[in-house]
Amino acid sequence: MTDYVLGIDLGTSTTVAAIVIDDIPQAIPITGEDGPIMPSVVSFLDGGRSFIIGSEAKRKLPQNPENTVYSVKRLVGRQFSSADTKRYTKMFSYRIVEGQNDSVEIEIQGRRYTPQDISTLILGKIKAAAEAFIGRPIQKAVITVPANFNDAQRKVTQQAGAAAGLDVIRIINEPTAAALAYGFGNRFHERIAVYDFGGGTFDITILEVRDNFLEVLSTEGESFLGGDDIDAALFDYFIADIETNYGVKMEYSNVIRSLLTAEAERIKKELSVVESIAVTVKNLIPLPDGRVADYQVRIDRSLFEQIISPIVERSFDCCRRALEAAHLKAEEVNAAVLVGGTTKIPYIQRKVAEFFGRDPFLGIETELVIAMGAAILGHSLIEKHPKDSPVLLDVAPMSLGVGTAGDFVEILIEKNAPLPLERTSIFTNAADNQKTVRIGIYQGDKTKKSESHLMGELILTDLRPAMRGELKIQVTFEVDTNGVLNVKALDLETGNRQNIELNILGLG
Amino acid sequence: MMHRIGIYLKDERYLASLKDFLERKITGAEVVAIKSIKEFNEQADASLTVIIAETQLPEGIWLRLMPVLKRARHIILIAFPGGPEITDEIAKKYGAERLFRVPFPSNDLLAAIQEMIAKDAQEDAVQEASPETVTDMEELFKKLDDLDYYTLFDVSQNADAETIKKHYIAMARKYHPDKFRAALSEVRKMAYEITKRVNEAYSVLSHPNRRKMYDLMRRDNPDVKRFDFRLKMKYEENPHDTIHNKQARRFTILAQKAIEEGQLKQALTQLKMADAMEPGNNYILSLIEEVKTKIEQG
Repeated sequence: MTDYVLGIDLGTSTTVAAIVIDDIPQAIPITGEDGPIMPSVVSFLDGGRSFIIGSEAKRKLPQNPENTVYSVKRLVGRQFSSADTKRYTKMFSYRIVEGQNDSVEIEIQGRRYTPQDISTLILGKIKAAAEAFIGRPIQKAVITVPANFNDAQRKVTQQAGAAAGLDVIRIINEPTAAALAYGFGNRFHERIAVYDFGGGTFDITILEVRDNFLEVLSTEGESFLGGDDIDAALFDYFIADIETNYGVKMEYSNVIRSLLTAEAERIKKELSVVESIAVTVKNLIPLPDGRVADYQVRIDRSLFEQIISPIVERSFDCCRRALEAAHLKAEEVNAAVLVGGTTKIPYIQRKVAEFFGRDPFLGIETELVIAMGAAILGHSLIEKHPKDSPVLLDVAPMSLGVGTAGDFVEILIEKNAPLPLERTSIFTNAADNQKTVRIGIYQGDKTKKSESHLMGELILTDLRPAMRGELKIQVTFEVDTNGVLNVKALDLETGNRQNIELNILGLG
Repeated sequence: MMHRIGIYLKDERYLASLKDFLERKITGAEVVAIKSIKEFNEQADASLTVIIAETQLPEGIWLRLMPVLKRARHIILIAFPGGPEITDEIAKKYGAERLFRVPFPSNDLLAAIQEMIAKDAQEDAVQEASPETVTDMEELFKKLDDLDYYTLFDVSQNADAETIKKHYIAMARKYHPDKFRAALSEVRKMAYEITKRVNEAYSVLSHPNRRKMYDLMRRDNPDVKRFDFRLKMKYEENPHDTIHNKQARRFTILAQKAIEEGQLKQALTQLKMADAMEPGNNYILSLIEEVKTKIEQG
């Protein structure tokens, strides 16, 4: 019997899964959703004793803000002490607390969950929906992650999959998946810009494809730029409009905010289809005389475009940086691929066409592209005759180095090196009869500790007694095809294996 | 080897004559006539060596057609008078290697196709040159540590970047662990180890500075097979960073300026000063070598 592999786009705001059946990738309809797109939201009910997932959970957010977990992807594999986490702690309506090993945990009604626990719940629902769709169990999956996800974030994603009962046969980069969905990677030499404007994040990735060799030339992004910002801009417009036309400075509660934001989201979607839309929000505005007025407004495309253009322009700032980093001009890119729900907006499509001087690829529903590509890769990985199928070579997501004496970092693994790869380094003991040696692992291209991000620690334990500097322990760093780091160590003198622990911060 | 050539033209008479012409001229070629978009979708696949298509297509069809076109190995476009303005530049953007404007000599088209076929044969040869069977893989695996990167890639020491990339891609495709997912775990492990080494070799040979260092290392000691990545990745971005002594660094920078200006003797003196201040620095030594060679060459 043929085996199936689920391709899963586990997104910040939505999750989509696809599967290849009879050589055709198909998106999987999710139970309780109006199609294949499920909000990545989990809402806990009954004092945390039960939970709901997806649209149903998203609708609960206004009434149940402390117990509804959203945007968990932003927390996955993060360190609690990081500036980003601090920002999310302030911003998110649920409680974020410190877990073991500087990891992030979410506290709901006195119970603690790791971000991967939430991802596991989401993946579990996806798995069940897929099984219902094809009528039999599915174990294997390919899960996508942003190109700039680090080691901890990839490991956590794998763990979440495993906990949901999935054998995650590959973690791949989202832009790579998008390129695969459009059939790139067959013999042609091309540079592709993957323009991914999602609900909460924007990413631009420039890929070079040649003979199934896929290289990420550069990737840039903004972690706070997405459809949500467009909704927020419309919301701000409403507030300003009410002040101008009704003479009322709105004091708004969370309920009003979410009501108007939902209205903004609806308008945004409608305006991709119609030219102009009239909106009435009943009993919204408290007039000075005590009456409550309905809010009426008409928004047409040109006004809408005016409102959103500063937001859209920010995405092109990223594009310019990405091109610069890849040493390319916009016209040297052969194809632009649109990904993410926000790219449905005609204005954005037009702007992308202008920027790259070509019409972007649009054949596949932009929210489904990544999941489709993941499914295609998954399918090719389990094919009976793998020798004939294309092979995709991915690259290291970021540079990794080890801390040395003083303020220095020795970079061992360079960003964009083809995977799998291995590098070795030799370490020694700094004191007589030292039992353990701790080595910091740093992420990024900086050669100074004080400027780099400490990602974790390598601990050599049970060292044999020796004088200072006498031990020569060779440590092999391997980054596998998923972009995940593994280590092993060897005592060069004795040829024995040396105990080594890899402790990545943020992994609880 | 059998070649399939697809032709998509609306003008049926022209299509028939072109088909006839190519079939007569190219031995062992099967020429497929494609008359509609629907046929196009069914016929155009990876088995097509060359696809010839006209540019006079309704707007919007192009975008739909592009992924289909790209299934073929090579694309040739034919522009008819009165059709849309197509420049070579635009044709290239569609992935076409050649653009012909009607009228054009049929022999030019023929020559273009023959050239493409010959190039494919060469490329295939590169791929077939590496071992395929598991036994061959075992052999390669066994002697992996005895091979320097050039031997591993089967290229000469002075191979250019393009050749190295070509051979690398061929190797990487052949041994990528994904191809051996269904194989025994030992075979998979071998593929994995080989791929890691192939990637390592490429990381060095594709990188001018590292390659220079590697060559230098090997010239001093031919037993060296693998690059020592601890020898300063810093080297890549800013080689000066590997020089710790401030004075040595200053002299090196001065020397480089002198090299640019063609003052080689002056540069050499400055580099020797730098070397004295930080003996054994590989970057300084490599520059000294470089300048000496330049002086010898006059």
